[in-house]
Amino acid sequence: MSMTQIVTLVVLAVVGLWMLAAYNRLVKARNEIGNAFAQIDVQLKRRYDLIPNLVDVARKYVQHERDTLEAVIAARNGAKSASESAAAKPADAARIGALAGAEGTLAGLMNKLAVVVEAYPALKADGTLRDLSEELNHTENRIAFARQAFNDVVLDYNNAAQQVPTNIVASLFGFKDAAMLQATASEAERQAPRVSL
Amino acid sequence: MRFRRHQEVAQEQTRTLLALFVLVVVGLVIAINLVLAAIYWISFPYAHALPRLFIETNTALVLLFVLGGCWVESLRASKGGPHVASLAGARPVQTGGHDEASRREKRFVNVVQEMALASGLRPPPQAWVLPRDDAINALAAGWGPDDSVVAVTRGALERLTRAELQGVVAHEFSHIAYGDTRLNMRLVGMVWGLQMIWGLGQSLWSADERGRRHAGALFGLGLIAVGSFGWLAGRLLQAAVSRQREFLADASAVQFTREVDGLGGALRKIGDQQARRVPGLASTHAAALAHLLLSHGTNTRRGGWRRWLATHPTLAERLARLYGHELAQDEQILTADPLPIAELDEPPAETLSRMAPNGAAGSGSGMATAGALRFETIAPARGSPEAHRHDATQLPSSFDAAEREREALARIALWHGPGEWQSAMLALAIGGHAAGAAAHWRAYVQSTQDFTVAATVRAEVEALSARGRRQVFESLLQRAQSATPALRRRLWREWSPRWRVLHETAAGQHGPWTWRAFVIHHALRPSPGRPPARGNLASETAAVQAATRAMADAMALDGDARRAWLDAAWRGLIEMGMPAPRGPAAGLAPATPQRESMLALRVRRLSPMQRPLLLRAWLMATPHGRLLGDATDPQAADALHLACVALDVPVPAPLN
Repeated sequence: MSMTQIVTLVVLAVVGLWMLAAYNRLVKARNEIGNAFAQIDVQLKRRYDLIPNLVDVARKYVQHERDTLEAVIAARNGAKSASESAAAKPADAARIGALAGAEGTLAGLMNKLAVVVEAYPALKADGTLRDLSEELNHTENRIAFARQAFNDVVLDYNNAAQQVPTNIVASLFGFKDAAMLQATASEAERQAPRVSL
Repeated sequence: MRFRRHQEVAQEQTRTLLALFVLVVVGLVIAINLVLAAIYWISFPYAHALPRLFIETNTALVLLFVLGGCWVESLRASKGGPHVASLAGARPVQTGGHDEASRREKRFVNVVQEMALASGLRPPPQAWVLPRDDAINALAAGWGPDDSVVAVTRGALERLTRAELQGVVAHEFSHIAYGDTRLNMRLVGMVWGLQMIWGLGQSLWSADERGRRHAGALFGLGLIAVGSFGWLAGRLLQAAVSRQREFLADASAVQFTREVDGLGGALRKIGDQQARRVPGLASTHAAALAHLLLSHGTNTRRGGWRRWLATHPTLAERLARLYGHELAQDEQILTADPLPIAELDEPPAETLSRMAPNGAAGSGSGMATAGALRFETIAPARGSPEAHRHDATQLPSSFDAAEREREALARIALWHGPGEWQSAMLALAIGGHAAGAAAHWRAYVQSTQDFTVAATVRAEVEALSARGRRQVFESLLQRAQSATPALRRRLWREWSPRWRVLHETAAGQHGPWTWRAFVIHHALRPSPGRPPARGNLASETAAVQAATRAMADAMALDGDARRAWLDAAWRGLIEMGMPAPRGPAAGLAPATPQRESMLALRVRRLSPMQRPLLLRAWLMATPHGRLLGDATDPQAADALHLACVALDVPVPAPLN
């Protein structure tokens, strides 16, 4: 074999190894995204499971607000079933819309429940409620951090897929850019703070 | 804080330092060979050549020492994180009971799980506690993610808020995620190896008990010389790498928690403890484990050379990197008192409200907003939904004036953005009565492009009674004064152009609004560099006179009433020790309004003991009827109240 043939083979081998490494890196980054997304889902389910406990504690102290408590339980059940049906068929717009509506109802009722808790100092001071509120706080934090970790991982993947030598491999093997999670769904919510800052 | 940039810089620096370390070892090998060869030739001048395998033996021995030291340390440390943590005196968390201590430990476990999610560390490290230590500190140990441990002192559990605990845990997580424990252990091992070379030289050189030296004493001397340089260089580099990893961990803590005040608050509390000389870790192994801790001996009193051997950067440096600018001495400290458990967590109602607004998107609205400044001392009023704080359709629900005022004040308590602060302060300062108020307002709205919020804020403020406005003004001032230094600087940057514009358009006209503007200016003025307040009425005469004239304007006195008030004020002040004003300074205003205001601002130089005297003179000069008048003539009471706020003097009884 002549010199040029050897050199060509060596160069091809190096390029091939580099492509292999780049492909593996992209696959790893993409799998991280899938894992991070699954984490978010897990935390959302936790929240549904904590609400009945909250209502049970409140029921002990709060005699006159039965309708609110019943409504909260009903809304939570509705939201849970809506989320399960949406998870079964995420592409169905109707199911996603129903989930959004159920979450909205639950949100309004949680607000009302907050007002109730404020009005009953004995309830506020209860040890079980304090533990439970720590759990709820913790769950909200977990949701927030899971979303943040998801966005971080998507950033790493997008960086890898878009930077110059690796993007050749990415386009060859069909690695598309991933989308980050936006902060809030409501346009009005995003508008107001920006104006006053 | 641009944490990604800081992370990249720290990684680059680490690589450079490690390359330097390799160079040091290579240089050491060469130097030892040269020195030993030179000594050989001095000792045996008749030799023709170096002994066989001279160079190879020297090189092999040096590398054996250095790499062997590294290997031995790895063996010692590879017994795992739990082993190292128990050396430091830690134990696993106990969350069984229902008492305060168990609640705090449960909260810590929750925080560790949250940080595990944010950092993507799988499996999450074990959570341990150092129960005997009151100082705020934390420890990360473990060779790899599988056997890693995050331990936190009891002091940290008791004294840090939840956000600060998150910052501390995120910092430790960063150490584990980036393998800092492994890196540090290896470097420590190599430095130990370098020390052994020096030790070998020592033992060759030292005389035995009969005072006779070994035959290879000169070689020992050579080894001591070269070895000590190598050892010193090794220690310096190891300390430098450790410091860079601390910076990296700080930046990563900001990345995981997306806020600066968590870790920043914890570091400031550590600064407070150090200022109070709270002792560090109780364990006897604390010094050896220094590089695993959050903070170690980082007081500022460091001699020149000691600085280079420190494993942690100074607190001042770390805070400067976190907050993006140097902090003043008093800003570097945050009181580290133990907090009752109720204050450590969010109250239940707030948690429930947090679940509400963005239920479907689940964004956790107080939490992960990248880079947002937070007005951290503001708590939204309980029970009022934040979403309605600017809702113009939320009309007052009752016709009773007092009730409406209370509701308005409750809504105002929800304002916590800098934009709302600006609009409110401008509305209060202008008051709607000054000439050109409409023009000022238009200019403000144009410059900030704030078309909706500013108008609502202004309407709210002008609908309040004089007393209500005074209350709002004082509470907004207090918020500004207790806000974080970064936010205060921002408010000052945005406020000072308006102050100048207001001045210029006033063109000699003083009124109640100038006094208000002066008070805002005083509250926002950044504090570093201010000379201590030690003046008395005699030494700050010009300032006192200017301030008195400004007070007369603030009370909207003119003509005879003004002269009479000023005369009464001068009489009162002369009684208390001010020298009598001479000539034109007696009652007429000097050349320019700017000079007048600068003089009036200098009244801050009065010592805290002298300021009540000034206030008393003003009070006594004011007829009693004017002081009490709220409905018909609020100016006097307002102006004096504001003077109390500006001068940091408690409000005297007649004004309440």
